[in-house]
Amino acid sequence: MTLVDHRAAVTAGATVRSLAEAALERVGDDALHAFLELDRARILADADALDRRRAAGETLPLAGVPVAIKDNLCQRGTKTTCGSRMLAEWEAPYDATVVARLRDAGALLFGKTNMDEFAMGSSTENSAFGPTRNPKDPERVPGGSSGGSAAVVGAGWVPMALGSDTGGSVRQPAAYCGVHALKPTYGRISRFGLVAFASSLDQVGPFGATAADCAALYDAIAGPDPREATSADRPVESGTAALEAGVAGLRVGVLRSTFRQSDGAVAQVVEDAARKLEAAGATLVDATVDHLDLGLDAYYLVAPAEAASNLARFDGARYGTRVSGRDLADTYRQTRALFGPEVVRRIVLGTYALSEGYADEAYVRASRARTALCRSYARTFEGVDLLLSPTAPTVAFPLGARTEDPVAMYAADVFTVPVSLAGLPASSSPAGEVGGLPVGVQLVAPPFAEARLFSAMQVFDR
Amino acid sequence: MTTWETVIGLEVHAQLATRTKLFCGCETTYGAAPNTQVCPVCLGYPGALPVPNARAIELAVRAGFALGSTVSRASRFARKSYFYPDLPKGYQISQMELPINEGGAVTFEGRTVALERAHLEEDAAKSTHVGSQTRVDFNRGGVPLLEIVSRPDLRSPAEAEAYLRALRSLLMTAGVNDGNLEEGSFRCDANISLRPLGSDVFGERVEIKNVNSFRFVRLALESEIARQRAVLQSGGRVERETRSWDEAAGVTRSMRGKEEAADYRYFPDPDLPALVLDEATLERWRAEVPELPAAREARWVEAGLTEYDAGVLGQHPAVARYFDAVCAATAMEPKKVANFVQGEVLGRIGTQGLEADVPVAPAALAGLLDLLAGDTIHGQAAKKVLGLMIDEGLDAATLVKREGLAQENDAEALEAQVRAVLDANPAQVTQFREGKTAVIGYFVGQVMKASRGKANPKTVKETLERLLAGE
Amino acid sequence: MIDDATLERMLGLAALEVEGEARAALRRDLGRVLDSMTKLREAELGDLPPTYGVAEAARLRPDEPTEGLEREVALGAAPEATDELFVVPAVLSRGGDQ
Repeated sequence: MTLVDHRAAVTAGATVRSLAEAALERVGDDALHAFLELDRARILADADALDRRRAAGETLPLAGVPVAIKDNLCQRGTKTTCGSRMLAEWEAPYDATVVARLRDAGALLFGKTNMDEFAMGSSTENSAFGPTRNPKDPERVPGGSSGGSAAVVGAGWVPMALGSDTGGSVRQPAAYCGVHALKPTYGRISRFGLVAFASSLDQVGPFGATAADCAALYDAIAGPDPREATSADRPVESGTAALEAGVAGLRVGVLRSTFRQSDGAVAQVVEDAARKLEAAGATLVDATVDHLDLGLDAYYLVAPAEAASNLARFDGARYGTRVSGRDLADTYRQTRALFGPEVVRRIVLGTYALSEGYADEAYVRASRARTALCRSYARTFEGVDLLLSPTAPTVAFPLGARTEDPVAMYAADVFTVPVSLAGLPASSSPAGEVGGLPVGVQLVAPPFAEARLFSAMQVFDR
Repeated sequence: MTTWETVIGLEVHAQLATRTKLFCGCETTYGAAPNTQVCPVCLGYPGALPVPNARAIELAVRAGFALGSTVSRASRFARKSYFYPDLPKGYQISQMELPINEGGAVTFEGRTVALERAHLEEDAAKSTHVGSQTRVDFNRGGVPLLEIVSRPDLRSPAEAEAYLRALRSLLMTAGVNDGNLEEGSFRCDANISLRPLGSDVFGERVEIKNVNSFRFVRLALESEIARQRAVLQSGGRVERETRSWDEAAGVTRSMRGKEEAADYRYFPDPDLPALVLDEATLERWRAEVPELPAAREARWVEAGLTEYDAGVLGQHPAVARYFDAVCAATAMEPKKVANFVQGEVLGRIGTQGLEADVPVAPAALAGLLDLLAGDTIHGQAAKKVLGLMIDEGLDAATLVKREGLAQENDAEALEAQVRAVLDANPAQVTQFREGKTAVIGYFVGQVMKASRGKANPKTVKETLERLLAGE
Repeated sequence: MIDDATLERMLGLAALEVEGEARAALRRDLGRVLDSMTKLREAELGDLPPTYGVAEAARLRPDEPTEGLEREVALGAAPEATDELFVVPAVLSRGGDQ
């Protein structure tokens, strides 16, 4: 059921409560382990409240549609665990800006979804509470780190979900689960209330069963926020309004190098997706972005460096769980032993990248490579309106296949991280399937051209 | 025996006079109940984000202009990482590579001390240690500070003290800091080392933390110099460490012992983009810098004050403003106004009461001084009137009239009084003529007494001298 | 490669403790990740300045008070507190009992 269907049902007289009950029924006992919290009583009470708002004559843009929330977004009245034992019992005393905006828009907040611990991972296997399964094949990963959100939309349980994307964490799971997702321009959607992983890269991103769902969710949450210093002070073009604009006349740059780096079958499906845009009136041209191959290395220094700093606040002093030691320093260490191995890996890597004697060759050098990437993208966008590549080089991999090899795990992000470093808006849309498993096509646009992405995403739903 | 040169550099943490904290809307009111001025941002909650306080930026820039610093058009905040209970995020937001103010200087007593920088940072929380517990109050955490770092150009404890007084006065005059030492609005850390006179290499430096009065800074430095000199002269090595001032014992004590060089892993705070300031705003702030203590004191010296007077009156901007206002309203010459303000006004409210409102308005005091300058009353009467003005809040002219304090200036009438006194004291007249001229003071006293304090003492003395010489 | 002394220093700075098998695995994984970064090591970056973020100029806020957390709420979320203050173990260890 999409937002369009949901609205139609509501218009035809269905209550938000009845639609919520139906959604809960679809979820059943959550065989995918996609939710970390699904408080049925609370959801139904909220549904009733939305019905009352409608009865009182309020216009609700999202009409009570259920939206799942990644568990690193603060939501009053629920736990926000970030998939970590560190915050297993923590309840935020405030709403993230995006959550508050969803409430205002009349969304039904529908459970908190599973994720890699503190959003660090590409498979959702790093959740302290167990992995989520791919809705198309339960023996495979849903991608990550927003695997729970991608899975609940991919399973058809809810039409929309919020995730967060630091290096590909909405785009790659969207590709693996066969749904749409958008990572906005850095600064476009508020980060206030998103538990930070890497602050210069993190963005909240909407998932949708269709491009229209994704756009409706985007429209509800995008825009300036006075509570965030990095929030862009720019008006937002409606994604929904852009859906029918089409792609006629747009020049789409095809990043050939990424096709060569992908599985052949994946490349073929994405090639076909490009032809779809061409058939809709776009012009395809081959494009390159210099230094694209520096993205992965630079990302895996910059993001851990910021993460090491962002996660220093988890010391068991003011909130969350404390494990008492023999003195303060020992208490810090015992408490921080609650972090899982991938989080520890990244904190240590990030500490290394910032520490005296290594910072110049690690963090600073990576930040200089970032400059090279930003400039390369800007040059490429002088000649094209959009860039097209596979979202990930492969389809969803089997559970456990890469957990022993971080380098292989990190490689799943090779096409998404350069975009994040440059802060550009990018989408992933279902391009087709390989052996019954979804393949995603990634589109990248110049800064703040999200509307153009929605115009193109819509083509893949036709 | 080696002669040692003292090298001192000071780091002052001056609280910027804002209503709210540097990165959140919590108030900065001093003395509030513990943990009542806190929020997710200043407690370092997951998901909370810092947003800079525009007023704090403005005050930092105004301070920069007052200090003669180069104000950066695009400064940045950086994270300084370490674990401590008073640091909720595991890092302090400060500035490293691109501070808001670079360079600058503080001028005092004819000397100029150069500054490295004056940057923005957030204050830490307050922790107290009780048995096996450390207890933390986050009210102060996140309060905006300007850290003003001097070059190691100070050469004595007295000079360090004078620098601090001058810096405090300058920041208060610029309106960026309230100068309140007791409330910790103006705190000082001192770096001190000794080196053989003539050497251009610095010795190992010791940091003395958080000394909370100017006098204690001087005493702590004096004590630390003695300690370091003793270590060096006995052939030992001064270790790099942090020490604190033990007020009761009058010595510095090691706080943390020998430390490994800290690795704070500074990097630009990704939550806070560059602070970009436009030229028009900067120009406006620059133009609004008020007359600063050094210029003000030079102007006073030009007008006839001594450097000492100027220094005393310039120590607190409220007093300086008061003095200028009185001068503008009275015909009395500035040097005499300075004497009266220092001797009578400040003396009466106590020099420690510099912060207090002076209880007599400048115009009212000018009224009194005009009576004094115009010979309507004499000095003793002026002191008495000032006391009454403070007690009763009435103006000088009214009180002089009521108390009958207007002095007798009529020469003939005074001569009659003087003759009467001389006639009544033949023995003393004889003494005077035998050369004991000091007895003239006795005569003056007698005349004043006879006139019930109203005689013009100057005219009385002149008349006495004339009559005694003539007869 | 990352030697054990360096790893120890990093763990200390990050207030982490990893021992035994996990420590060996951590060292191995970090070594692999760092060793894999050949492209960055070999890149010709000339005199390019670093980019630390892509946000435009900082948004500021007016110096006006906003609602904070009630003390009861703030202290209630803490693992340990008095009526007024957050409590953590003393900065220094209790002497003699280690």
